Amino acid sequence: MSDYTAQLTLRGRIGGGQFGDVFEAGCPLNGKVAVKLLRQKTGESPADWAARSADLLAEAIKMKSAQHRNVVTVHQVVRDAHGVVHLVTEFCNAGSLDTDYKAGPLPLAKVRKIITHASAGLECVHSRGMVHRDIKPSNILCHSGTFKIGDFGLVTDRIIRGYASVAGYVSHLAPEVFGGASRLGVTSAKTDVWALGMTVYRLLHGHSFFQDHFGLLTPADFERKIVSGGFAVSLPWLPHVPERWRKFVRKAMHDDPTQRFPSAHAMSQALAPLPISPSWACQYAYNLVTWKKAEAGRTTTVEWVILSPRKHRWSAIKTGSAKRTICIGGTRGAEVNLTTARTQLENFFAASN
Amino acid sequence: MPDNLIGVVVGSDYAEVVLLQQTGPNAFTVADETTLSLQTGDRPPAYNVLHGQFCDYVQQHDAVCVCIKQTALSQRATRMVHLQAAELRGVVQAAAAASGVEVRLVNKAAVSRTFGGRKVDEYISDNAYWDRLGLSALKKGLREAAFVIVAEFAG
Repeated sequence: MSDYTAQLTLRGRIGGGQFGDVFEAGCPLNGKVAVKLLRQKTGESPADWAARSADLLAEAIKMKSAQHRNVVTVHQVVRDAHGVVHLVTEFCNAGSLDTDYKAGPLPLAKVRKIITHASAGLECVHSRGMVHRDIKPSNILCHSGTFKIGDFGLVTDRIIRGYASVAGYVSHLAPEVFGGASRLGVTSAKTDVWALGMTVYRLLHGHSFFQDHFGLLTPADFERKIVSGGFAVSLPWLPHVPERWRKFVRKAMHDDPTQRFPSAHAMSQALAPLPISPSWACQYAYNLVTWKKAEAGRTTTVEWVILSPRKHRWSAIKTGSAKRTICIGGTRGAEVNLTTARTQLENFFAASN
Repeated sequence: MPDNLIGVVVGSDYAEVVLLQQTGPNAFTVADETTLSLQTGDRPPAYNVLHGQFCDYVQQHDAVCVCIKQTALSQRATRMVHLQAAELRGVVQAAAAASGVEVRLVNKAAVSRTFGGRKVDEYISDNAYWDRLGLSALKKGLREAAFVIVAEFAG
C-alpha cells in the first residue's frame, strides 16, 4: 500500500477542509493529481477513526465504478504506515466553485450549466447505489469548463449532522436527516436533491447575500427552521431571479421527500426549460445591489440603494451607443420601504425577461 | 435476464424515450420512460447537454439496442421545426452510437408496409393491441417510442 504513496511527489497545498489538506502532487501513472490527506479528527476516538477510514477505503472501490465526466475520478485511496489516508484524485485545473460563490451571484446561464453537470454526476452516483451527503459549492470542481462533483465518501450518516454544523452547511440537510425525535437521521438520493437545490440557491445569490440573511443563525436555528417546515418557502430572493427558478428550488427543497424531484435526472430535466436570458450580471453588497446587462450595443444598469432597513431607492438606466442615458424605471429619487422596492424591482425584471 | 431495449421518438426540442424488456416473442414490459428536454437558449450547447444525457441513459440502463424513429420527408411544406427535429435526431443517433450499443433507425412508412397487416398509426391507437403486448400501462403519448422497438423485435 505505502509503495504507491512513496511514488507521489507532494507539491503545494491547494486547499483544505474539515477532513484534511489537499495538495497538488505528481504521480508517475496519472501525471498531475490532487491528494487529500485525511487524518484522525480532533476528538475522534481511535475506534471511530478506524471505522471511518475503513468506510473510506470501501467507498473507494464503489467510487471507481462511478466513472463519469461529471464526477471527479478517484485514482487511488491508500493508507500509509502512519495511518494517514491518501485520497488520490483527478486534478481539476479551475478549482472549486467556492471562489465563484464567494465572488457574488452567478448568472442564470452559468448556474444552469453547473447544475446540469452536477446533476448528471449525481445521477451516475445514485444509479450505483451511493449517496454523496455533502453537495455544496466547494465540492463542485471545474476542469476545463466541465463541472464535476468531488469529495465522496467523506461524510457518513454517523457524522453528517456534526460535520454540517462545523462546516456551516446545515442548510444543506433535508428535514429527514435530522430524524425528528429519534435523532437518527437518514440520507438518500432525495437528501442529495435537497442539497443540490440549496446549492442552486447559494450560487444564484452568492456568499455575501447568504451571510447577510443567514449569517446570524446558529446550526441549531437552522435545524429548527428546517425541521419545523416551510424553510424553502421562506427563503429571500434577489429580485432578478425569475419565479420559475424559485419554484425549481422550492421543489428540490420540498419538506416532503415525495414531493421533491424524484431523482437528479428529473432535476436536470426540470432545468431545461428555465429562462436564462436576459443575462444580468449582479453585484451584491449589504447597502448596494447592482445589475448590468449589455444587449445590441446598449447597456442597462439597475441600482438598488439600501439606505437603511426601511429606506430604499432604486433606478434603472439604459445607455445607448451615443452615451445618451434614459431612465427606464425606479423610484426617481424617492425613498420607499423594503416591500415596495422589492416588488417594484421584481416587476421590472419580470417585464424585462 | 431479458435485454433492455430503448425506443426513441425525437421532436424539435425533446426526445421521448421508452425502455422495454422483451419477455416473450410478442410480450414486453416497461422498465422506464422519460422525456429528455432540450435546454432553452443557444442550440449547440443544448445539443451537447442532450448528447451527454442520452449517453448516460443508455449506459446507466445497460441497454443493448437503441431504436430511433427515422427522419422522413414531410408530406406538407418542410418547416424550421422539422429541420430542427432532424438535427436533434442526429444528435441522439450520435449519442447512441457513442454508447457502444446497436443502433437501428426505424422508418415509419416501411414499417407500415411490412409489419403486420395494418398501418403504424392504427396499431398505435388500438388499445387492445397494447394490452396483448403487456404494455397497457404505457402512456399513450409514448406508444410511438415503444412501437419502434416492437416493430424491430416482435416475433
